[in-house]
This record gives sequence, C-alpha cells and structure tokens, in this order.
Amino acid sequence: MSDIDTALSEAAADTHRRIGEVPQRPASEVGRRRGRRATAMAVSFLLILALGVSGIALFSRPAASEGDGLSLGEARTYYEALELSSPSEAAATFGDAFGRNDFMTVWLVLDRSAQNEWQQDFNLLLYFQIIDIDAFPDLRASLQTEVLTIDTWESFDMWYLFDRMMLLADRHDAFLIDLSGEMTVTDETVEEDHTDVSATVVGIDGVVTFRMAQAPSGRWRVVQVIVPGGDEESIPWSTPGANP
Amino acid sequence: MDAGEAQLANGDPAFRMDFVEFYRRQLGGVIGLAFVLSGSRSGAEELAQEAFLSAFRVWHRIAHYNDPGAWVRRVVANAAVSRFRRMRAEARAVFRLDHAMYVIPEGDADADRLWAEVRALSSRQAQVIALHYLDERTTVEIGEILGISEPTVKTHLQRGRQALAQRLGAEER
Repeated sequence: MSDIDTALSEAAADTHRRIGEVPQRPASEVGRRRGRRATAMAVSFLLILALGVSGIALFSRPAASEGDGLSLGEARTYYEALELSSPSEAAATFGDAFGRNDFMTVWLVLDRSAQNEWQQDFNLLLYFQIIDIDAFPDLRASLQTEVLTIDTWESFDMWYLFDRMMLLADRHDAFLIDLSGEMTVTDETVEEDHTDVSATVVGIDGVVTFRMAQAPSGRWRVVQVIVPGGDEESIPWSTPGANP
Repeated sequence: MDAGEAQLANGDPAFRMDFVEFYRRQLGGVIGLAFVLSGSRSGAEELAQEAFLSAFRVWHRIAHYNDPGAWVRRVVANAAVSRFRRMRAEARAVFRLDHAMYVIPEGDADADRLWAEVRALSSRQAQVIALHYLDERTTVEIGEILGISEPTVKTHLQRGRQALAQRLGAEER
C-alpha cells in the first residue's frame, strides 16, 4: 500500500468518526423541511424578482442612445416592448425567440408559475424535467463545464441560468421540445380556466399547444408547452413521460 | 403534487417506511461524502438533505433501483463540487435559525489538509477518490454512481493519487 493510500484511508477513518458524532436529524424532519423549503422558495423568489428587475433594467436605456441598435419604441423596458397583448401574439413571440436562441426572451415570456417550476426542478437537480438527459452520455460533465462553472457566469439572474441550460440543450440536440422550426399559430381556444393556442412547428409531429395565462397587467405569457401525448403535470415542458 | 407526494398524502405505509429506512441507513455516509467533497462542515448536512429531498420526490421511481443510495450519492457528488451549490448550502445552514446548527466536529488537521488537496484535484478525480476511500466503493460501483465507465474510474483514481503524491511529496506506485 502506498503512502497516499494509507493517508487517504486514515483520513477516511477520521471522517467516519466525526460523522458518527453528528446528531443526525430524524427522518420525520424531512417532511417538516419541505415546509421550510417553501418559505425559502418564497424568499428566493423575491430575491430573484429583485435581481430580475435590476437585470431587466439594464435593457431599459432610451432608444436614442442605441443608435441603430435596440429600439424599444415607446416602451419603458425591453420586457414591456415584447408583444404579449394576446395569447396568440405571446405564443408567437415565444416561438420566435426560441427560433433565434434568444432564451432570455423565452424566459421572460414564461408565466411566473412556469418560471417557478423550472427553478424548482433546477434547484432539485431534476434535470430530466429541463433537458433530454438521454440525448448525450456525459450530461453531468457537460453541466459542470458548460453551465455550472460559476466563475464564468455574467449574472446570477435566473434567466441567465435558463439561457445557459437551453444553449447546452441546443449544442447537444437535447431540447425536451424543440421549437426551433418555423411556427404557425392555427387556433386559439378559451376554456373556463385557461386559454390554449394551437400551432404547427416544423420538425414536430402533430399540434403543439401553448397553455397561456394572463398577468394582472394584461400581458399574456406561456405556462406550458404541450406536445401530443404530453404529461399535463410537467411544466413548462410537457412531453410524454417527462414526469414519471 | 407529484406521484411520490400523492402516495405519502394517501398514507401508503410501505412507501413511507421504505424511504424512512433508506434515509436512516444512508444519511451518515451521504453527509460524509458531501463534507469531503465540499469541505464545508456546516453546509455538508444541507447538501445531503437536498439530495434526500430530490430522492424523496422521485422515490416511487428510484426505490426499485438495485442501489438507490448510488442515486443519492451521484446527486450529492455533483452538488458538492459545485461552488454555487456549496455556497447556497452554507448560506442556508447559516440562516437556519429555528434549529440548532448541525456542524461536523473538528477532527484531525492532517486529514482536513488531505481532503483539501483532494478537492483541489479535478472534480471527477475528487469524486472518485472520495467514493473509493470514504465510501469504500469498488471501481465498478463508482462507475455506476457517476455514470462513467470502469476504466475511466480507474484512470481518474490513478491520476488523482499520482497528483496527490506529487503535491504532498509522498510515495505512489
């Protein structure tokens, strides 16, 4: 046995001894922690909201200062400049942004409940709800090197993480639902508790349904994207078997 | 409510007992792994708890695996080497004011220094070494836990030991 072998074995024995001294939390507290986690989620939601507002404010410079660049028209911020005035327009804005790999805009057009679901799945490492984990073999290593290397992050805003995850999916052909193809809105149906926008997307067999919600401001946003056979419990990406 | 929560809400005793037993058996080992890979005495238990929460959410699925503990170890091994998750776990532990803090007691300073050198290796090498020495897993088991091949595990193990020996000026054959 080498010196390193011996040293590591001794260090492991020391660690086992120390862990044995930790007063371990009873299993029944796992359930209680779920309640505290809900509080933590609420706090983090507020934090992210604050960060999000500050982040979005970066895009709110007057059009005159942009020269030939971004023009917001009469809108105060980039978010307000997005076309979200009807379910169909909002779905089209969502699809257009997806097609341009503009996942920051895709994030902004997601309803807050969908943003919250995505964030929860990310926090709980439930990557199968976010990305096609079977699409490439070394997902974990790619996540570490391409997404989770915090030193390379330019922002802690959740849209930025979403953007990086979606770009990872794009590089590895691992979208749960790939809306990159040309999208055509075909129908809009109003149900008692939601509004659905139906569309065809090149590359996807069958009708894609965008389940929409209206914010108090009147803007429409996407709660869920559903492909034929999609599991309706999975938000925002509803695919067959995505939420086993 | 997902399927796992639905089963608990319905009071399925088999489901609950299985998870409770699993949790009791695995908690110490998972905390140890989180501690060695994160280096955080206060955040290790939080990382372990997060991994168990993730397991709880999908328990109806992973309970049927040959070794659900491997699933939890994979989650915690990846979370613990992430600086973002480690910082978040430490912050949560600090803000947990309603319960006494769970802090792993101080131990042998040489052991701490060695684990710090292990953490300075590549993430994969650190994971492989921690699983091999601390969790006493075979190279086959480590491959299954991390989702990599056994030869790759052996390579990481060998290179990790060599790098440690070089840094510490110790013998490694």
